[in-house]
Amino acid sequence: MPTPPPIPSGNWRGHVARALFGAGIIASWFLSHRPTRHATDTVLVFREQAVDLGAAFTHEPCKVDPRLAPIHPQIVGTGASIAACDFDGDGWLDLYTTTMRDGAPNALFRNTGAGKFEDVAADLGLADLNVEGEGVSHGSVWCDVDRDGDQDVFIYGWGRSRLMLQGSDGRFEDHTAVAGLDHWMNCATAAWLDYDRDGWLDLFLGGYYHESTNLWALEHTRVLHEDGEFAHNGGRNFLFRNVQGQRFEDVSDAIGIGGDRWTYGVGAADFDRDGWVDLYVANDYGVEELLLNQGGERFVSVTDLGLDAKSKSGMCVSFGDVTGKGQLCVFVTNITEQGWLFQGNNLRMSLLPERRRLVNLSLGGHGAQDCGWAWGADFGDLDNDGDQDLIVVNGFHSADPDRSYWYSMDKIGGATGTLLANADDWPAFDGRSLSGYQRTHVLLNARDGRQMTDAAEAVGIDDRYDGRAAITADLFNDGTLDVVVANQAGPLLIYRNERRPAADWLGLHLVGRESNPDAVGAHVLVEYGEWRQIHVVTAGIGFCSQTDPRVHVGLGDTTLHRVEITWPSGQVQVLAGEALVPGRYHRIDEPIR
Amino acid sequence: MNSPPMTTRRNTSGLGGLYRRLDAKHLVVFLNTLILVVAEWRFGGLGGYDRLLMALGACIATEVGLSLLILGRLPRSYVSPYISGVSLSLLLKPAHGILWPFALGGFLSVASKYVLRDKHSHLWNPTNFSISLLLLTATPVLTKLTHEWGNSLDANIVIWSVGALVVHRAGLLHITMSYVAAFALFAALRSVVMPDARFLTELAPLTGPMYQLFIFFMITDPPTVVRGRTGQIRIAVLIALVEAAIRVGLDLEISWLAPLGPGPALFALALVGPAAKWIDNRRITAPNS
Repeated sequence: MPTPPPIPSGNWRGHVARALFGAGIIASWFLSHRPTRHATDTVLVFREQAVDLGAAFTHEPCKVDPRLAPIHPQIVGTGASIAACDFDGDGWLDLYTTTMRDGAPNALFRNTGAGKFEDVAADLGLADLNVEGEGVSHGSVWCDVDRDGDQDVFIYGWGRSRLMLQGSDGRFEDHTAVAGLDHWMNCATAAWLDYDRDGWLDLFLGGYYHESTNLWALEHTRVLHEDGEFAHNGGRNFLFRNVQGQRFEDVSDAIGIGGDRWTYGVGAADFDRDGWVDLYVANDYGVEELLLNQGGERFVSVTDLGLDAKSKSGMCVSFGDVTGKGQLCVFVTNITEQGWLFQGNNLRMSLLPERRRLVNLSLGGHGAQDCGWAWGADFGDLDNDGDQDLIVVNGFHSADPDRSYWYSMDKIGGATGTLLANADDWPAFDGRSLSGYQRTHVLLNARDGRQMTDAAEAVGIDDRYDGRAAITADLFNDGTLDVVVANQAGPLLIYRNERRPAADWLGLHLVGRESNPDAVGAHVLVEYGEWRQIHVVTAGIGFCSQTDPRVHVGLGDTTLHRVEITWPSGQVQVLAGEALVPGRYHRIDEPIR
Repeated sequence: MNSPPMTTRRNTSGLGGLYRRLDAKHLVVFLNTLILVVAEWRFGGLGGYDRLLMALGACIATEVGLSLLILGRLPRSYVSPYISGVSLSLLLKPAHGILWPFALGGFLSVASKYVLRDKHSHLWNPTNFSISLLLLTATPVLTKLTHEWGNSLDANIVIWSVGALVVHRAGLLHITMSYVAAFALFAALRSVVMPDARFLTELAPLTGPMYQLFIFFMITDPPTVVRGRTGQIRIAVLIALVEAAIRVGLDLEISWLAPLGPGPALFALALVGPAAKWIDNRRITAPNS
């Protein structure tokens, strides 16, 4: 192309061109350095009280094969988890959290109901579960597996996972082998769901490292992802069908569950409202997947929603409803690091039943898009003002705060897959941080979810640990949601919500009869004021977490009109607003047909 | 990324003849477009057609606007803004939902040709200038292409093949090969000199998609390379040397070099290319040169 002739000196046209050019350069700075909005005018106050409450706990990573030692933070970057469940049925939420170090105990913090927790894991057989070379914990999912009226737990992890059933004496016994679940896999996520609507909860397991990989005794060092966007050398996923609470049958192949991606997050909900629970899967180094349940016979991956158009680093799947329109929203966290990587989180509103679309709400300057290197997240109306807020924890590896691993990782990050997959070719961490010391985000909703504003510092959630799992849960049954965070190589944090309790909320505790007893998979539509809010009961959601199984709705200053419950069995139950007094929890039993 | 040189047509027959009859600028447009299509179809590498439209629109609008303003006529060719637009849409990776970097990058790319000039040539490769500038000024919202096309060999093979065709047809393959050889040599040296460094780790960046675009389409930009085969080889090696120096500095964690971390090669070209061109311009115009 012929190059333009020089601008004559002194020519006004040249001055205009130069002025525009200079203005463009200046504009590039100002456009990219606009201040981020933070909420300051909130009534919310949280205070971290884990130690005072008796729930002191620190996650410790495990050792791995010495050949992986130079990149140990990359290999053992996860494993801190949190699950909320009422294991003893006393009406107070208890907490189970995991660690990984060989011989280090997991903790089951029983909620005494008097503002204290006590660790009963050792007494009940749920503490000593981490054995390097055999299996270490990565998370847990709770439900009544055998329908005997108490809570059981599946503790998943790298190596062998464990199914622990609660006996009549309250102790937990290992039923893994008897149940047919004694498999070697590197499981990063799990969820209970009743995919065939038989009333027995089935088990989805998400694989991360390939199941042939033994991280403590490698056959070779080619154990990492072969691709930053489209990796297909991860662990396979499994679906085990619960056969009358006696054993589990691997139906993965028959029903279309498998794959070879690096799965980190899963959530089960009925996206297309056909009465059959579907699966939403977040994959690291890969695309998000929506697997629609075809009448309990087969799961089919949806390909026409654009989910495969953009691959990122999916970490967690969380469900909520930020729009107040009664539309299920799914939130998937990803990585954002200024100057290096801008994946952005996805907050998608499902319009699947009506228009077969998912609408991404977190575009441009939406507060939910950039939460750093984000991991776990959970929705909840933290201020009971009638809309759902969102908490997101973040940070990968906090070591030397003045030294970053990003440049070193970038050397290998864009390289061809043969090099990328080989741990030997990765630069050593050497004490450097990777997106470390990031602050948790508390995103307050401005009613319709179109803008969410970070208020973390204003509300007192200002730690800079490497957060992994996060849940909102009403630990003190006072109608306000507290926040629990499990940190990688860091302490368990319990942020107590100190907002003054008021009768501006509604709590629902669902008990299934024809459906599974935990009502996992139930959809609850709450109509109040001008708003509608949908909730899904889950058992395994977020990143390595299980959130409060009860439905909590902030009502603000509105009037409750009605509640519509779609039970997993398909039965629809409608409750009039007048029948539900705000400011308390209501036990709702599934009607017997 | 570049504007190919005008070439002399020869009457020949057969596929080879067709290859030789093709004007290099048309070949580069075709192949640039092919990479764009494959990247988007196979990998979703664009991240949305709105990015392409924004970059292309800005480049062409700027070319038209400045041509009218400065020259008083419409541009005679739209090849350069087209290539700049496509290249920007592939190489810039801003935060999701943000489009202004493509518009501003397009404007700065094309405007740099009119404003940053020495004698009768512009100094910077237009795309290199705007990306380097934006990587420095707009760090909070953008970075450059890394792994967004995946890390499989497929993409590289496509780019190697079409890239080699383009630069060979333009008679500039020696620049690419010189840079690659020099990069590999300096990677080997760095792996020897730097503690705990491994050769394959240091060589790894060269195998990524961004580097394929860089070595085939950016450092071979005819209007901004120096004259003469020997000089071109020297400059390619010098770019690799400066890049290696930047990388050593980054490995030594020299803090003031940190802003160059996302794109050592891009910044090396942005530093060496214009200086070399400026000197080259004086060599050519000097009496008895």
